[in-house]
Amino acid sequence: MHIPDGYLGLETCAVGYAAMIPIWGIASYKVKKNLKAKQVPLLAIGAAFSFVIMMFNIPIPGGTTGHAVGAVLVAILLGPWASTIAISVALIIQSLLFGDGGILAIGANCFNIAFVMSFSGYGIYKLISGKSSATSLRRLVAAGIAAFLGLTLAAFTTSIMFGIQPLLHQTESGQFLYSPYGLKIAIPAMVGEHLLIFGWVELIVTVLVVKFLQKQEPEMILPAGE
Amino acid sequence: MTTIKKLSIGLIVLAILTPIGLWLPTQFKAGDAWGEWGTEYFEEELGYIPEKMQETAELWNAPMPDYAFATEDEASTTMTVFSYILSAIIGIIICFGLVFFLGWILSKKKRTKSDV
Repeated sequence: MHIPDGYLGLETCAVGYAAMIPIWGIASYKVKKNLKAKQVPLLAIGAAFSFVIMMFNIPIPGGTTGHAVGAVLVAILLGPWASTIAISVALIIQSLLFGDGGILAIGANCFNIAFVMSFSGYGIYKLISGKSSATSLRRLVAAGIAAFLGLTLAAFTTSIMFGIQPLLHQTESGQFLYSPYGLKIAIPAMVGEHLLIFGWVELIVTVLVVKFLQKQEPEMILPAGE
Repeated sequence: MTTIKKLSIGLIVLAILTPIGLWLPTQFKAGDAWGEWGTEYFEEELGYIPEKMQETAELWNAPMPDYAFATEDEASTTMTVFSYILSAIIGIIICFGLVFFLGWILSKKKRTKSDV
């Protein structure tokens, strides 16, 4: 889901950055206001976890590969703003040091994978978990469904960015200038593979960690004020 | 043992296991992630590389492209596995360090305020 350089036109890349700069600003403000000093190590582990879990490429037999992200997990434990920052850091490091995701596309990638996934997943988790207790099965189920849908929604917004490129950038003779596949190809391909395989991987990873924390330290699952 | 310590150990275990993410796709004959192909893919699929894609694709030379230290043709399997694990460890340390530092700065003001 890391869009490389060369796939998105400069306008789309600029819009990505233009969206993320205020989001990073608000996220910093929110984290400053709400994050407790003792939660900082957990947030740092969240960023590192996201980095490393993305290295586990999972195949679709004879097809493409994909991976879990961990953004919904971090959002569940520390809130979607903190998660947006942690996952953005992981994505920026992947891009700058390892060439995974373009540098022009950093804004776009952070929008999809850090922001969209954290917020959509967190919203779904809140909706399903309600006021259930920290150790309840309902909370575990909520985490799993949120992880599955959060990743798939991130794939959906990513596929829209891919899919609008042929509409925006084509020569008069019909040659593509950037990513050539339109919405009708990009959306089913990306959303489909995440519904089929990668969403389940995200679900399993998230449920395993939440289950572990339910046993180990349930207070971590109910952040301040709940 | 504290939860943070247990999670940190989990991270190290994950780093050592990362080569699974290299091996598994080869076992199932899976290729790149959708939309993350190299430009040569389009040479085959379209018969040409989109003009602007060609211009901007190689904009940035990452020091460890694809979580490897040597280019794929030169690298032995051992070297590929080793550099993948090392990349994981480097990534973990930098991500942890940066976010810890950011979090420390952001939560600092509030700490001093609440202390007063």
